[in-house]
Amino acid sequence: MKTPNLFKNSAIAGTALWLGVFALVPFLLICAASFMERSPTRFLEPVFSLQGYRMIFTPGFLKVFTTSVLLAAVTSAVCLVAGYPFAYILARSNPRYRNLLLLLVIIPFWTNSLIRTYALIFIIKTNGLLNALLLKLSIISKPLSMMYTDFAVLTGLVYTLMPFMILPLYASIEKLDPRYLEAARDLGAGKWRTFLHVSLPLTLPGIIAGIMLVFLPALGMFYIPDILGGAKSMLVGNFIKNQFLTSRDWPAGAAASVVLTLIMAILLIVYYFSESSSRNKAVVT
Amino acid sequence: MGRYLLPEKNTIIILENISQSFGGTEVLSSINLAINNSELLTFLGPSGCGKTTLLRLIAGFETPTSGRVVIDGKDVNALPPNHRKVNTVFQSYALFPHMTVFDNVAFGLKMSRVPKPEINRRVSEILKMVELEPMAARKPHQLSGGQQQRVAIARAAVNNPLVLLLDEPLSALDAKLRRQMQRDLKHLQRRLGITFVFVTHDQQEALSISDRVVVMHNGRIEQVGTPAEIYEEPVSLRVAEFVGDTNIFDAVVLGKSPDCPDGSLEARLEGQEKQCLLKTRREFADGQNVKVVLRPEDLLVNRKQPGESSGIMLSGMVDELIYKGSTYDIVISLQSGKKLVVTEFFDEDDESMIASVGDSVYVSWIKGWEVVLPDENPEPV
Ligand SMILES: Nc1ncnc2c1ncn2[C@@H]1O[C@H](COP(=O)(O)OP(=O)(O)O)[C@@H](O)[C@H]1O
Ligand SMILES: [Mg+2]
Repeated sequence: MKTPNLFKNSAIAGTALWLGVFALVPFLLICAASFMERSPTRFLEPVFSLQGYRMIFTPGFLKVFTTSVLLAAVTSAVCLVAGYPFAYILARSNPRYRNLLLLLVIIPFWTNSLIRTYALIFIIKTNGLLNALLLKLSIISKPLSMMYTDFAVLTGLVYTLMPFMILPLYASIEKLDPRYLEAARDLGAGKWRTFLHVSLPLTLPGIIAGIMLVFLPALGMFYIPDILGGAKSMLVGNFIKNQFLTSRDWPAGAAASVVLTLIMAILLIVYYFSESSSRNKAVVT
Repeated sequence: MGRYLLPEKNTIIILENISQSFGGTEVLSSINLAINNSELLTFLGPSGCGKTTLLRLIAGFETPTSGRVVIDGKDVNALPPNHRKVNTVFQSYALFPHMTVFDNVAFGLKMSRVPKPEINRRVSEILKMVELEPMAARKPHQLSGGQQQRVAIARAAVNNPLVLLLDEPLSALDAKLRRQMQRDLKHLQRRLGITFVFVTHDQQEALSISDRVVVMHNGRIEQVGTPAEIYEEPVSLRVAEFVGDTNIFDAVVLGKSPDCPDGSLEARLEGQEKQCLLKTRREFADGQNVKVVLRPEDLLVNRKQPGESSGIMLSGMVDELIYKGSTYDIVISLQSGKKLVVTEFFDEDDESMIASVGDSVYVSWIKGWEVVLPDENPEPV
């Protein structure tokens, strides 16, 4: 029994060390920075100040913040509505093709998402593939200008984050016992009401997990709005990046990071409790 | 409870020449059966013989490869499960884990848009009937197996279906609870007046609760009859062996008995010099090989050699005594080496009657209780 314990302990210690060095320490540094003063010469003045927080509790930042939350919410909603049927078909498909379909979901991960975002430009730019297709099919008469709009940013976010919605949905739909669906049909529920009263509540953990995995990254992703939204789209992620790299206002950037992290932490705690209570419900005998 | 009134005819379900194949494998073949209104009918057969498939055909989860399912006079082959007035108690119960007991039971009524006050009344009523009213607010995982089972029955029965289908509903319960539930189910069925179609692989269960039993084997119906008919007059060796314990003898028919006009046959039993009389309503040719089936309780054990005049006596030796509580089984080796099992009741007044291991005994049977069946695959002599 000694060796497995040693292995387990060292694995845990290794993970803890890794998280400590690469996640906790940087976060503490950011926390500290958010309470310091801006310095024109050396990034930070090591004196206590709420300047950074004062900077972000301004109408300008709040607007950036609400836009980001809204965009992240719409991204999650689009991913959910488009991803659920896909995950459902995936989970109920013949096991022979299922792995192939799953592979199709995962393949995009093999390419860096920055490169994939640049690739998107070729599709949605004014003389890009999408416009060419729509023109050819005579659906539109002159090319649509889609680049540097909220639509472009939304497309980019949905495209990049979709697999993070599909995979947890797939996992929970696959676990959904078809016998519950038969029981519902037997008791007089049609297909839609079976879905509403049985499938949906029983796959809720997957839905929540998917939303978490889409909503949280969507808040912080800065390169997609940068590339596809141009200067017009200012989201929390870009704001933070700009504070650090352009405005050189580290306390403000750090304060925005801290606020964002706190919001994510609250969402994760909510998720944790909803998950553990629904796990209690899902015990079947 | 506003029972759905039937037309005057007494048949509620007709299975007409049903066959079912899955990927080329025939699971059910030419099933023909009429199920009567308000009866408790049991499909009895070994695991894998197609019982669940048959129930799924009636419930609408499968469409027969050929043949028709008729419920209440209507061909329902094209009707999905939610439009059939039939409800199922699933083998696994399939209670919705995210709903309380009350919501589980109310589900069917909600789906048929019954007004709320009536839902409350009917759900409370049926929960009281299955003694689960105090559990109404619990989730299924907070109930014992027996309680979950009763919720499953209540959830199906509350909808007043024309037929309630029960797929091995008791197989997960322990023996004592199981016997209790068998009685409760029978009472519930009488009280509700609903047709129950019950599935089990347990012959004891089938015999004790059913009005009629359908014995199945390999996707075919072997025999349909009352429990007594199935047990006492099995139509085949397979039914006889599946429905209870048996002692089986080979015999050769010698001819109709001239002394007995009641259709008795004269026959020679394996290993016996003397002829014996076999009572049967079946017709057999002279010289035909037959099987004589005797249940352990049909046999009598005598300790003394009986007189010449009496019928056949098989002499043997007591091998083993198996205590069963109110009865005991005596295992006897005949001189031919064949083993018999005889069930006897304790006779407290005459303990000398109880045999002991090593005793020489003579076995006879109660006249007329033998079942004579054609030998389906006689071994070449
Ligand atoms: N959907 C299906 N696809 C393929 N084979 C099936 C299917 N359903 C049942 N079977 C087969 O049909 C046979 C009878 O099954 P079933 O009706 O469940 O038997 P029972 O309930 O009597 O144990 C089994 O051999 C089973 O493997
Ligand atoms: Mg079965």
